[in-house]
Amino acid sequence: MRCQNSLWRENHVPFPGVRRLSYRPRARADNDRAAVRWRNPHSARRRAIRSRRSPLSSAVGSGHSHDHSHGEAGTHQHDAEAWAPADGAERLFYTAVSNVCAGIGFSAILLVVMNQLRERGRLQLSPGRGLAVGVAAYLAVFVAPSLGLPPEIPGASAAALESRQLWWLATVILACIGLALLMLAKSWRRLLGLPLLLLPQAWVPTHQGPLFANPDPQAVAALTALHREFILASGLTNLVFWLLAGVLCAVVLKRSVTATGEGTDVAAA
Amino acid sequence: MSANLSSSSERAARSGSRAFSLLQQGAAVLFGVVVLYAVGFLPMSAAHNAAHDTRHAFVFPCH
Repeated sequence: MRCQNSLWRENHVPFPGVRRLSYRPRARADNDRAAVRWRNPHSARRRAIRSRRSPLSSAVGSGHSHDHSHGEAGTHQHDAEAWAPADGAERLFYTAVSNVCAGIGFSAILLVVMNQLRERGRLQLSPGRGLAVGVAAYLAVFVAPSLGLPPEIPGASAAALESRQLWWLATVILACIGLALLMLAKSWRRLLGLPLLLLPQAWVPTHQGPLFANPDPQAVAALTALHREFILASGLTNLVFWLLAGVLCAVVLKRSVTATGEGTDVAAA
Repeated sequence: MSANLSSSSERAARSGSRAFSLLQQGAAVLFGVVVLYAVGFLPMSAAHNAAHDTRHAFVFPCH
């Protein structure tokens, strides 16, 4: 497994919380993006400009090496020279672009799913139903994998990447099928959805040992608080995203269906 | 007879359009999967670095 964590480039320190506690007096968190940027982008940017290199990176680095000790350690290497967007506007730009791409990808699939349901007469295209589909998608794509692998801030220890990616994919697919069974199947077959929802939780590629391999308990407390905040923030933003996606997909699909004149026979069905 | 013919040709047209629609929908799903793979799973490090924050926000497993 190659480590491509740009957070561990020389001039990157992910945890401003640690700096605030003056864990190291000279420590400058010049980069805090995923976890904190949504809270205060300007101070993050200023810090990025101000500081170049921080001793904290080596302090947190112990957690990093531990992170990969149970992976394929032999092939592990840092991609220090790999391209990464510069902090500040460039990084915000790439994050915005990839957010939009993720939205397009999820919505493309959601549109097809909703259209299939509509063709089979199982879904009326109204904003309310779109909201319901959005909630279901939120449960399947965000909540189900988060139960096993909660949203994590950069620097948290975790199991090998490939196993987690495989688990994520399996969990999301099983949750989609399970929720569909629960909501759409008839009579006792609904109950078949439950084991599909629960099955992946029995086998979660968890990390053995502490979440943060930082030796300082104060720093760990700060990181844990930050982690909790991040779970809350990502949970809320994902909920808003899926509700919006559900409603907009329903509205757009209805419009395109009525525009092609296909909607008449479906309305009768 | 003529009604029968017209209905069968209608059915053929409808099944043709349905097949086309299935193709379109399959293409849409494929497109979505490819885009999501690029954003959330592509192991290339430039792609990872560009989409890093998005991966964390969407709970895609990351590093």
